[in-house]
Amino acid sequence: MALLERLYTNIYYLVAVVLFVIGFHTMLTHKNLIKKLMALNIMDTAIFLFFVAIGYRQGGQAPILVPGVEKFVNPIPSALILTGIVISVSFTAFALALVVLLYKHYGTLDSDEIIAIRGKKHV
Amino acid sequence: MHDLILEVVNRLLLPFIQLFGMYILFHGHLSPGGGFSGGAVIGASLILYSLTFRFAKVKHRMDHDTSVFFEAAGALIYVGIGFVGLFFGYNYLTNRGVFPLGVPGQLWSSGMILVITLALGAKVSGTILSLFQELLEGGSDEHGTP
Amino acid sequence: MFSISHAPILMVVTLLMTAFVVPLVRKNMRLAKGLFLGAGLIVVALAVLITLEVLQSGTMIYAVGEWSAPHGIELVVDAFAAYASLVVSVISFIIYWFIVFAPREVNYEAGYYALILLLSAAMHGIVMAGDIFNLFVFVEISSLAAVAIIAVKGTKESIEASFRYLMLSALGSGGLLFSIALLFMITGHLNMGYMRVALATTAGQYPLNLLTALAFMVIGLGVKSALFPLHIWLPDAHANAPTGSSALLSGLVVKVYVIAFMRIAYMLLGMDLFYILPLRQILLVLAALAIIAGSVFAIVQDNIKRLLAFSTVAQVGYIFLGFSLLTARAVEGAIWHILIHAIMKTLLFLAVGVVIQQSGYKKISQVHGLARRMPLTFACITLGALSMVGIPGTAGFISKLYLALGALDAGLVIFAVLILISSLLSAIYYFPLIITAYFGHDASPDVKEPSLAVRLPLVILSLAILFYGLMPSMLLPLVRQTALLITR
Repeated sequence: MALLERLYTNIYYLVAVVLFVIGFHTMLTHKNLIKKLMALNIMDTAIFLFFVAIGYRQGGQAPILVPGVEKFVNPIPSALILTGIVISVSFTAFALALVVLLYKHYGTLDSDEIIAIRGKKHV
Repeated sequence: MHDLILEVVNRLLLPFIQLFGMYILFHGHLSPGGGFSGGAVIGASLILYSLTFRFAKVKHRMDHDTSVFFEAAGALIYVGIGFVGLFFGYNYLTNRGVFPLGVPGQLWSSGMILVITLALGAKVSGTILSLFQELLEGGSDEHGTP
Repeated sequence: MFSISHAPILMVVTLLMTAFVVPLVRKNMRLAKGLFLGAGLIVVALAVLITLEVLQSGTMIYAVGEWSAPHGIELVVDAFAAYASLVVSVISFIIYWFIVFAPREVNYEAGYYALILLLSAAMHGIVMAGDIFNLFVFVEISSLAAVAIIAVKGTKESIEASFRYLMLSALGSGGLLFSIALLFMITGHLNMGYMRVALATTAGQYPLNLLTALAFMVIGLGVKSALFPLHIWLPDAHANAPTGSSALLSGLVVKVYVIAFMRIAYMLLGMDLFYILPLRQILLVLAALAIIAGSVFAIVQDNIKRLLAFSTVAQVGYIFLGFSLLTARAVEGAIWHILIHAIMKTLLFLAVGVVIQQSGYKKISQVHGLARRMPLTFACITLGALSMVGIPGTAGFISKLYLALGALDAGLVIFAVLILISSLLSAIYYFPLIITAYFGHDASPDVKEPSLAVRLPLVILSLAILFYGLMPSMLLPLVRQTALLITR
């Protein structure tokens, strides 16, 4: 079927979008802070997969100048993703430091309970 | 803690891990890798060292001031190298007319990129070690500062 | 060697270098403070030079590393970038001065200065970027630094507020990166000028791609700039931060993301696309909701800083409103409002911070009669509040006038009425603070004014409000040129 063939040629994009939605949804709905962080990483990884899949060319080799190779994949997305991975790692490291502090102050890793504790204090 | 197997294996493995990290750094302009991945490998090796041997014993060798110095020095070298282009009359961070470019494919080529890669490697390993040390000590006064 | 053409990159580089040097000299706090203020001053001077150059010779394009357009990264300094740099550098310097001379609120001061310098470097990078991925990297740096300057306070509330800000900001970044990926997919370039040329031909072939990219971009930048339904993180984050951080965040950081959105709109999409897609109507509705919701929520607040934070939500609504109306005067009003709200909100946050530092009172119900003890501070708060309401003679009146006239120009009378109603609502939530402070009974004898160095920025900002209210002509040519870029 034409639909299956379209799905097959765009399989990378499809998987990237599915992972993105999984990460996005988990970040918003799940209560455990560590799960939110992992979902953030999944979401970022999905976007990187999407980006790298954009640069792929059929039959292309890795973009390193080696004599005898004519067709390369697009190197620009790979360079962008290197930067993106570093950004994602920095976010995760900072968020983990905040989670450690949150646990020290509130004693729980559940965001609903943290809101409840803050609500009681404000009254 | 004194785990004999961990200590022995680490004494054997750590030089190779660091050598591999330096290989990634030095070949940053020739093959995949570069500053971030090389620095991460070296930083991970330093964390491995801190974890296996007791941290108090390690602390006098890699204390907080050293890692902060590496972070700042790496970043300052990166930013400072850009000024060399300014002094020669071109724009900031110029490579082509300013640094000896050499033959592409050899180790000592591509001028500025090699220096930047090494500076980045120092910075990233310093940052990873500094973050680890802060988290280990309870992390009460700073978060993720560069 | 050091010609004026290098000034754009020198602004970012100076701030970055100082940010890396300050933690090295953390043992010598006087040197650190001197470097901090010195960097701010250098950047102000460079911003003024850039503005003069742009007014004289037109847009400056700077190719970093001598690699020009489709291969390299460019900094495009047009009138909008010059104006935004000027606003960011001058207001940041005033806030730096306050942070250095006010009693300290954070433990690790050298780290705090480094974070603020990084945030400033990223803000200058955002307003000058000509390459969309470079814009994204600067947006990320500023998001991380903005979260960090809240969390550095160390209290329970500030950590939780900053964590929520971090999570939502990361969602926004994910959305923005996804939209950049989609745009790269259909244009094949990353330079905003080249992308615009490519979009002119391919936008018709891939409409779904473009629409999805725009949706994710609005959500991504909307979360960070606190557009109406996505503003949830803002009250907690701005209220529980140290004083200088609150002023920096509310006055500048939130606006810089709106500026980023505007720059993407006119440099990458082209304003014709803006007219074709229904983006204008959506932004108008969201802006109107933001204005009303921000004002209504502010009325019921007792904590003064939370009230100011909700007021920021409403004011960002004004800027989006002015931009979406797309008439000459409305866009000029929005651009004026960027500067004037930065001045007003900074003044209010710094003055309220002074009140909290000197007296320890955080709520409106606690500050009764305090104006007798701190006359200058409360005079500044009164002037700032009058300006936010939009009393003629103050700067706030000028921007609201332009916005209302622009709404009438577009034929949408309802938005002019909305601006009037929101001014009334602003009066409802600002005047209780002033009335309680001046006419309540005085119950706190040992509160006094802060030192002269701390009062100086408050006085300068108040004078700026009066100056722009009575003689707004000084920056008018720059604002006109900026608006022309957008309305064409």
